[in-house]
Parts: sequence; structure tokens; C-alpha cells
Amino acid sequence: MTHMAVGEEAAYALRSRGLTKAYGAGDAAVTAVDHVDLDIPEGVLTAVMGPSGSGKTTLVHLLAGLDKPDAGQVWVGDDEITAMRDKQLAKVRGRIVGFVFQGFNLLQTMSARDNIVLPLRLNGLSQDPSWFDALVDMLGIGRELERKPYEMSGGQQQRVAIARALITRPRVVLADEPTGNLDTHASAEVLSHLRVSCRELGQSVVMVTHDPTAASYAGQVLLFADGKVAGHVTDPTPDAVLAGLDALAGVER
Amino acid sequence: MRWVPAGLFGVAAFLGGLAFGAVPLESLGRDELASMTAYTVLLAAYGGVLVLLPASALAWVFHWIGLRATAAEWHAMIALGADRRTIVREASRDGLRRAAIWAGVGAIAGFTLGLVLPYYRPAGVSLGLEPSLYALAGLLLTYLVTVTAAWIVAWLAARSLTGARAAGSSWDDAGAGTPREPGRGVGRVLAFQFVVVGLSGGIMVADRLFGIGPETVYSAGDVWIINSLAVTGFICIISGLALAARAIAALTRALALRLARGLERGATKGGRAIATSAQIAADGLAHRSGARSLAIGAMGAVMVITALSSTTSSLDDARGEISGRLALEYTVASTDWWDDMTAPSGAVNEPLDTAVVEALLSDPRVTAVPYGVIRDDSWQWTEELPDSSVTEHTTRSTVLVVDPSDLEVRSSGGARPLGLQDGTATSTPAALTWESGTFGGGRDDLYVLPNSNTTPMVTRTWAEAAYGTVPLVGVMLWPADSGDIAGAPQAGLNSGVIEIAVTDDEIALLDEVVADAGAAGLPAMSVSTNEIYGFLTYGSAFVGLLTVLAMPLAVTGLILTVTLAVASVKDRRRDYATLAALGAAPRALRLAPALESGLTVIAATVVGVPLGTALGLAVSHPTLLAEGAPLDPVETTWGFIWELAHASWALPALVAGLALLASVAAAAVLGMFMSRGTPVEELRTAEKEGVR
Ligand SMILES: Nc1ncnc2c1ncn2[C@@H]1O[C@H](COP(=O)(O)OP(=O)(O)O)[C@@H](O)[C@H]1O
Ligand SMILES: [Mg+2]
Repeated sequence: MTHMAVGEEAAYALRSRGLTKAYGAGDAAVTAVDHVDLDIPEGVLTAVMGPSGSGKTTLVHLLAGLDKPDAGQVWVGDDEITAMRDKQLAKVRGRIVGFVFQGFNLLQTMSARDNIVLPLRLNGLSQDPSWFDALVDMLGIGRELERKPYEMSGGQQQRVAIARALITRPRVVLADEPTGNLDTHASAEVLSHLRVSCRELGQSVVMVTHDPTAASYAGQVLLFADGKVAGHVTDPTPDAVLAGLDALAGVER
Repeated sequence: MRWVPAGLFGVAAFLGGLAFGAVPLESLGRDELASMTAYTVLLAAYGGVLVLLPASALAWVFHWIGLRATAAEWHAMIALGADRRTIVREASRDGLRRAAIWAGVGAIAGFTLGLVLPYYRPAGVSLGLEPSLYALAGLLLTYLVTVTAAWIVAWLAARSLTGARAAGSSWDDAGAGTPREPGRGVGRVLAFQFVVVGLSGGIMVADRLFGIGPETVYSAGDVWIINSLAVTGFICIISGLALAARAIAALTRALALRLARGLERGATKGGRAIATSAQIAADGLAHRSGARSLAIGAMGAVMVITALSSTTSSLDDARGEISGRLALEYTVASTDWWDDMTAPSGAVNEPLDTAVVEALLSDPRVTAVPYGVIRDDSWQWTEELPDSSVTEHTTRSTVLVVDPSDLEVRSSGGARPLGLQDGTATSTPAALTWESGTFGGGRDDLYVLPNSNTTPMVTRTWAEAAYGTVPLVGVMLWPADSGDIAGAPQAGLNSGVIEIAVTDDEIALLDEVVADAGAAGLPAMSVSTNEIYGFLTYGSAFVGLLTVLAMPLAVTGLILTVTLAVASVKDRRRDYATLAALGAAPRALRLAPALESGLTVIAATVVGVPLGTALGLAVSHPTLLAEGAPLDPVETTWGFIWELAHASWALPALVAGLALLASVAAAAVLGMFMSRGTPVEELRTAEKEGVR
């Protein structure tokens, strides 16, 4: 993990302490996120990897303020979102954090264009046409703009969901398997864009992924298992990531 | 939600049972049997159209809503090789089972109420718990038809939910995956509907204007034409209603959307939350899907039907009052024309002494209307009874000739609101002693107003053009201080009946007035019958039906409106959760459902009430739609204006107000409820409920 000197807390995009979330009760109880302490630095693309069911989705939901933890705290920048009231939390979701859902969650009744600009409308932000065009261009969805989600392929929907998360230029982007439905070329394009915007715009991105190649675009990779951070790879190459995952599997065995 | 479709058919069966419970239990005579047959036809036609069709459409919507979660399972099962037909059969059997119970309960409850409540019984029919066989047969028929309809609807819903088109998105017209050709099929259906309405409507209009149908039936060809016209009329009504429902849905949606967008713009400066709410509501309203259109159309239709039934029943009451006031109670004349059936045709030519007329007209103790009398030529007609036997009749009738303005002293507007004008005749309730109800039956140039239910009268202008000079023969008299209505109109199904009560005191007073006018020796007549039964005509039975159904319809409509408001908000549960995740203000999210349903109810009212009122005015109009009646622009318009002034909006206002309050409250509670959890929790709930 990147270490910072004391007093430079603002340089963290996301932090958590003792973050815990369990589902169910009694014997059926599953602790999806188990006392997680995280410090995600600003301007870094962070990948979260781990076996399915290890709690990655739950973790990013909690970090984005989309769900409430059972215990623990989350800070976005300096602000503790776990202590916020609904109204402030809505502001954070609308302006500071961008989220790409694993299932996209596009509004079926709206065209791709309307879906993309929805966060601007909801939050009373004005649209920057050149930014919109740049996103559309980068994601290659110019021809899909007037289509409804149910008229698009999974990959196209995913790209619309990414555009929607980026349209407000959020300080922090959280993405749950954002390249899961993309082909190699498209996913490379999206990932390098994310990396560039981290480096150049100081944006911070946390992305859940299964794909070691995708993870290799990241500045750091967190390995997640059984609701806990089980390790991290600081300078990820596909091989290093695979090695880390293998080690993880070994630990589990 | 699963009980709702069955409950709707229960309501339909309740209304059917109510209608048949109102069938008199006394053994029916031939005339009554004929009119009951007319009543049954009406029930089948209008009852079917007004009750069963909307109930079926709504039930279908609720099947969709209720089965949505199951539909995903079905798709998975079909994909894994399950037989679609078996699934559909099971689902429709389930719908049938529920409807069988609910329709049974509804039909019997309605039937019992119809038997027991005086409001639903024709006057003069005693109460009792002993229904006629005829009514029982009707009850059984109601039950069978309703349950069959329920079965068909359940089958159709299950079929369309298991179809490839419905895969994935259930509210949407288009299925997931395959991009749709927008509106192709819809456009073709719409065009077809337009053609059907245009053709059948054109034929009906032509028939109204030029009278295509034969005046008298001479041959099988004539019968064929008459039957074809009847069928065309039915097609015109059904297809017109279908088209109207579409238009109502489209207009209501467009208006609600406009209101929401307007609010969004208007509120941008005021409150961010309201603007966002309006925007969320507008997005919901803009969503065009078959089921949602039906829901919005249903709200509009509720308002149309409420306004229609309120208009017709209030106008019926107003006209009943006039009928009663103009009904002859007492008259003095130069000759006893009411008993003399041997005099020659044409005007009765024994003028009443002018001094007597003057004296009666100027006597402050009475209200007096002078009249002449004409007699029709006798004419023959045949009556075919339900048992196929044919009876020959010879009829000769007598009618009073008045200056319409003379009637103003008794009732404002005289008999004009009843449709009296040159070329029309008011017609009497059957019990008046002289044969009069059929006057004009043999004449092409006179239209008898079937629902006027008052003294048979024609205008002097028409009578003199047809029969030459018509001298004043007598004077109708009423006590001047009888401020109250002499003939009290009856409510509900009895709207064709008026009561006349002339007391002995009144007769003594009128006798005295006549004697003072120097006419003591002249023949006088008073109507002693207390109750005069009108004919249960098609027109008045329709009005009666609407009147009787007004309250049940309003209540049903109210419940439906609220249920639909809630359902359509619930249907956006996933959207709301996503909006919350994208940063929509909690207040905006809580407000949006209330706004969405409130705006829909307002739009439904704004669209539905004028439409229903216009329809009510047209249906109630004594001459507008009546084939063979004169279509004088001045008189027709005057009739409309009178109707507009006398129509009541109390019921639609009440229903609209209550619907607005109830659906906004329900949606607000739901909105609060739906924004309680975190976005992720809400998304999960939506998934659990099968909302996509
Ligand atoms: N709504 C829920 N109810 C019960 N258990 C859940 C729920 N969501 C997730 N889980 C459980 O929590 C664990 C972590 O899930 P998730 O965060 O989706 O993992 P990942 O994204 O890594 O696959 C899994 O064991 C899953 O079964
Ligand atoms: Mg996951």
C-alpha cells in the first residue's frame, strides 16, 4: 500500500476503518465484508480482485455510499460518508462519486443519450458538450445514442453505463467489473482511458475485475478473499497478478 | 396483486347481479316481457361494453403486474424445455378458479341487493326475496359470461407473458434483445380501427340524416336492412369506444407529461427538489408501454364514465321534473274529446268560448294552458310477440295542439327541453285514458319523443301546416300555488315513471275556478290515476342503467385509480433506486410518485370530464341522435345549451377529488416507503418483485 506522511490525509480518495457488512442471520449469516481497513490514494487506478463471492461487490457498494455498513466508517476525501444524512449522501453520490454497476442499471425507458446525461439533470449540473462528445467517442457509442438499453448488446450497455458514471467528472469512480462484457480491444480502450484520467486529472478509480490483463492497467491491485484484504500487488503485470492470485488460492487451500 | 383480476370480475358480476336482481318478481305480462327483453339486450350491449370490457382490460393489466415475477421463472422453465402450453393452462386455470369464487360472491351479493333495495326496483313492484325465473336465468348467465371472460383474460395474459416478445421487459411493448420496428403493428391496427369507425359511423350518420332504414317492414329485405343497421350501430359503438379509449389514454398521457414538464421548468428556480421530482415524474409518464397506456386510459375512462353517468342522470332528473309539471292533471273543454272516439280525423272543430279562455288565463288562482286537439287517421300495425304469434292492431290517436310559449307559465322553457318543436310530439305515459302515446305512428312527418313522458302535445305551427286551422278546444289547469312538482320524478331505474297526485281539494278548487269562468256546464276531466307508468324505452333504460350504475362505477373507478397509481409507481421501483444511486435528492424521490399519480388523475379529469359530459349531452339530447327526428340547428343547439345548464358535475368532481387525494396519498406513502432503504437494498427489493 502506498504510504503517506501524517498530515497528508487529503491525499486519500477513499478510506475505510473496520468496515463490516453481513447478510442473513444465524447459521446462514455471511460476512461479506469483514473489518476492512483501506487507504486508496488519489490519482491511482486500483483494481480489486478475488474469487467470486468474496465480497467485492459489497465492498464497492459500501465505499460508494450506496449501501450502509453494519459497522465501520468510510471517508470520501475528508468527508465521512457513513456519518452523513440522506441529503448530503445524495450529493456525494451525485457529484463526487461515479458508479458503474455490475448489472449496469440503465433506465430501460430512456435512450442511451438520456441515460448518460441523467446524473447531470438530476443534480442540476450543466452539460459540457465537448466532454460528452469525448466520452461518446472514447467509448465508441456514437451510433447507439438514440437506442433504448433493451435494443443494445451487453457490451454496448456497459459502455453507456461507464459514460454515465464519468459524465459528471467525479473525483472518485467505482466500477464493478466494468469490462466484463467488453472485447479485448474495447476493454483496453476503456482501461487506458481510466488510467490516463487518473494520472492526468487526479481522478481516483477503484475497479473490480476478474481479468488479470485488466488488472495490469492498475497502479495497485488489492486481493480480496472472504471479505478481507488478503494481499496486494503494487506494480501489477499480468504475471505478477496471476502469481498473487495463485498465492491467494494457496492460502485458501 | 393476484386477487385483483378476480376481484374485478367479482365487481362486474356484482353489477350484473344487481341489474338482474332489479327484474320484477311478479309474473310478467306481454308488454313487460317485451320491455324486459329490451332491457336484457341493453344489459348485454351496454353492460357488456361499459362493465365487462373495461374490467377485462384492467384484469389483463393486473395479470401482467402480478405475474411478472413468475414470468421470469416461466421463461427459464421454457428455455429448459418445459411445455409452454402446460404453463399457460395452469396459469389460466388458476385465474379461472379465483374468478369462479369472486364472480359467484359478487353476482349473488349484487342480486340480493337488487332484490332488497327499493332504489333498484321499478315503482309499484313489491319487495320480496322471491326472484322470477327470468331473473335467475339472467343471474346464471351473468355468472357464466363473467367467469368465461375471466378465464379468457387469464389465458391471454399467461400466453403473452410466456411469449418471446415478453421476454425480459414486461412493461415494455418491445421485448428484450430484438430491436423493434417502432409502432408498425400499432399503426396498422389504428388505421384499421379508423376505417371501421369511419365506415360504421358514416352509415349511422347517414341513417340519422336521411333515414336509410325502411319506415315500415314489408319484406325479408327490409328486415335484413334493419338488422344490418343494428349490427352496424353496435360495431360503431364498440369500435368507437376502443378508439376513444386509445385517444383518452394518449391525451391523458400527453397532458400529464406536459404538466410535469411545465412544472419541471417552472420549479427550476423555485425548488431544486420539486424540479427533479417533476422530471422523474415526467420520465415515468413519457414511458410508452401497452400496459401503462391501459392504466392511464383506465383513469381517463373512469372520469369519462363518471361524467357521462352523472350528466345523463342529472338531465334525466331535470327532464323528469318538467315532464311531471307539464302532465295534464285537470282540463275543461268544449267537448269531451278524451272519451269520444268516433269523431272524424283532423282538428276538433268545436271552439271553446273565448271569454272562458280569457277568464281562465287571467284567474290568479290557476295556471292555465289553452290547447286545440287533433285526431290522427286510424292506422294498422302488427305486433310480433316473443312467442312468435302476431297480433293486428288498429290505432287512432289524439294529441293536444299548443303554442310552445304558452307552456312557459307552467315550466320555464315549456316542453322545449323535452324536445318539443315543429315536427315532434311529446308522448304520454300509457295510463292516460285516451290513446295518445302512439300519435304519429302512422305519420312520416312527425317524430314522437319516446322519453318525454308527459301530456301528448304538438306545436300549433306543425299541426296547422298538417291539418289546417286548429281552434282552441280546451284549457289545461293546475292550481297556481302548487309550487311543488305535481309529478315527482322517480330515481334510478324508474326514471321512466312519473307520479301524479291531484288531491280532492285541488279538484274542488279547479272546479270552482271553472265555474267562476262561466264554464260550469262544460265537460271537465281530471286524472285520478296516482301513478302513470312510462314505457321502459331503450333510451330511458340506458339512462336508468347509467344512473343506477353511477355510484358503483364511481366507487370501482376510485379503487381502480388508486390501485393503478400504486401499481404504476411500484413498477418504477428499480428506476427510483437507480435514480437514488445517481444522486437524486431524497425529497425529490419521495415526492415524485405522488406527483406522478396526482398529475395523471388531474389529466384524466381534464380529458375525461369534458369528453364524458359531451357524450352525456349527446346521448341525453332528445332529437340529436334519434333517427327520424328533425335536426333543426336552432332547436338542437338550444337543447344543448339547456342541457349544459342543467347537467351536474357533482359526481365527477367528487370522484376526481377523492381519486386525487387517495392516489396522491397512497403514492406518497409508497414513495416514502420506497426511499427508506439504501439504493442497493431498493434495487434488490425491485429484483425480488420482478421489476426489471
Ligand atoms: N443480498 C444478499 N443477501 C444475502 N447474501 C448476499 C447478498 N449479497 C451478497 N451476498 C453474499 O455475500 C457474499 C459476497 O457477495 P458479493 O459482494 O456479491 O461478492 P463478489 O462481488 O465478490 O462476487 C457472497 O457470499 C454472497 O452470497
Ligand atoms: Mg460481484
